[in-house]
Amino acid sequence: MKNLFVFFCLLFFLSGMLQAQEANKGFYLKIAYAGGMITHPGFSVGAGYQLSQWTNTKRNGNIVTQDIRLGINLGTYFHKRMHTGIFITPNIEWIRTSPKGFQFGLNLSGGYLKTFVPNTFKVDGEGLVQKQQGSGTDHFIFMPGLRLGKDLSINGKANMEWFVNNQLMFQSPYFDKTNKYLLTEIGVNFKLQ
Amino acid sequence: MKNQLLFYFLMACTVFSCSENASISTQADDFFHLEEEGAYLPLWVRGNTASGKILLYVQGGPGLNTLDMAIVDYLGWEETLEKDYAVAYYDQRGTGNAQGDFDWESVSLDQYIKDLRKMVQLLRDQYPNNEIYLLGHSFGGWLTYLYALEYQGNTQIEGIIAANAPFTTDNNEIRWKFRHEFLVNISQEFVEQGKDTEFWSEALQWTQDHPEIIDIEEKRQWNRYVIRGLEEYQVEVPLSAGKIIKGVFFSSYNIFPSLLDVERLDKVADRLFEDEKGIDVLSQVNEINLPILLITGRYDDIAPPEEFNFAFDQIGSSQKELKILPDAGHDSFLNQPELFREAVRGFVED
Repeated sequence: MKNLFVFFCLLFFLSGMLQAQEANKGFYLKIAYAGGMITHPGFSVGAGYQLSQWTNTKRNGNIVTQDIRLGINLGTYFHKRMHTGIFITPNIEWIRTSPKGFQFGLNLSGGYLKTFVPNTFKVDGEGLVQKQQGSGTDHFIFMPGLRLGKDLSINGKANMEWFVNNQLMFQSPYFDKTNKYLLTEIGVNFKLQ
Repeated sequence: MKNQLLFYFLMACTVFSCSENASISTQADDFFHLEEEGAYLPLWVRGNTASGKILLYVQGGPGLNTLDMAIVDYLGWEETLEKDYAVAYYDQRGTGNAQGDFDWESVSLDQYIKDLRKMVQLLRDQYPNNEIYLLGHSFGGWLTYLYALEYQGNTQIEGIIAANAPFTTDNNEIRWKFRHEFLVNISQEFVEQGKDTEFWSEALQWTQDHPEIIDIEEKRQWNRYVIRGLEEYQVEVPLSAGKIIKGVFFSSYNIFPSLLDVERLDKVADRLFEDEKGIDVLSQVNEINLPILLITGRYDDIAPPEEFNFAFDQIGSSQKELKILPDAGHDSFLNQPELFREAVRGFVED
């Protein structure tokens, strides 16, 4: 089941890559701080492609750019005493960039999360206590997110973007339905083309 | 090579997850998880483990969170009980930050008692020189009675402190006999004191017109009297913005499953209430043979002193104490923190 899931993730990623190459769109690499509930530290790295890009010219002559991106993220966060989470998520994102480079985006990620629960013990029927190693749970995750940022390449400062991306992570299975968790990314995208 | 990479990856994760050891200190702050039946139940030991005594707090409700209360020190024990002894807090299955992929079938009284048993055994293993006491509030105290009955002769604890924990449930008709008596007594008391005389005279008259509380309308009317009349003994502890921010963003807690999913907590409570049916603790209290301290508030309508007096006489233990705290309701440790602390100390030090 897990292998099948990884296979589909790769397929999704590769198909995006091929389409991007055909359209000769931009490729970017991402690195970000990924904070669970904002403050519990972690990081994420990722890569992605612009699938499509279009522009609108406003009445005042300003040009607004919009693009759709496909990418994949690998990340971790460390929520002390609760768990350490490691996740891999393909994602799709829509971003609107103003003439001055300010960005607003909406994104959707879905993937796999492994948690490691710290300092875990099991007690058997005889009352014998044993410390467990690598305890934790596997979850499918789904994360809608809202992104704000700035494209620094517009005024020629650097070929990169900075962004803050707030995502609400739905983790399943978790007891009766899903668990929720806030994941905030603060990072940069390096444009490679 | 692939396996080696996986091994290093898992090792890194384990190290990253941080291991903590039990500490013997006047300011212990130790955190564990108990893995049981698909759940990871968090256990937080705080305070004076050097005292050699740990009070394992058993939450009431049912279906209330525990660790969030400890994080914001809602009970106010950080500067009181935790200075005297260590207090161990845990989130029960289905509440708070109990993690894992467990099913509804395991949210049962049977499993709650097993979880409690394993918490006791985990504490005994981690703190081999400490005595363990169960400190249960309300439904949590009722669970400690069940625990004492289930593990008679091998409780592995030193004693029970049951705070505002009724012996009866809504399914035990005798409960309404005590409740009737309670309303008669407090009505008379308040009328004699000249307190809200009109209201309490009416309540007293109602008890005379209804010498027994049997049907649902009579039960509702009884509730209306005690809720309206004893409102002043219901305590809401104000929380500072700093405590809330600390709890939400700078603690081990995830508020989403615990505070923002009230529907689920209600469902947990409903399941446990359903499980209560058919259980009659009061008729078995003569089998409780370990040291026990009963604490309730004079104006606790859920665990009225009239019921406690009756149960106290029946309890089989030779080491038993009953404290009825004046001017206190169902959260007697909030109404009378100093008297509550003294009662606990008196019992534990004996």
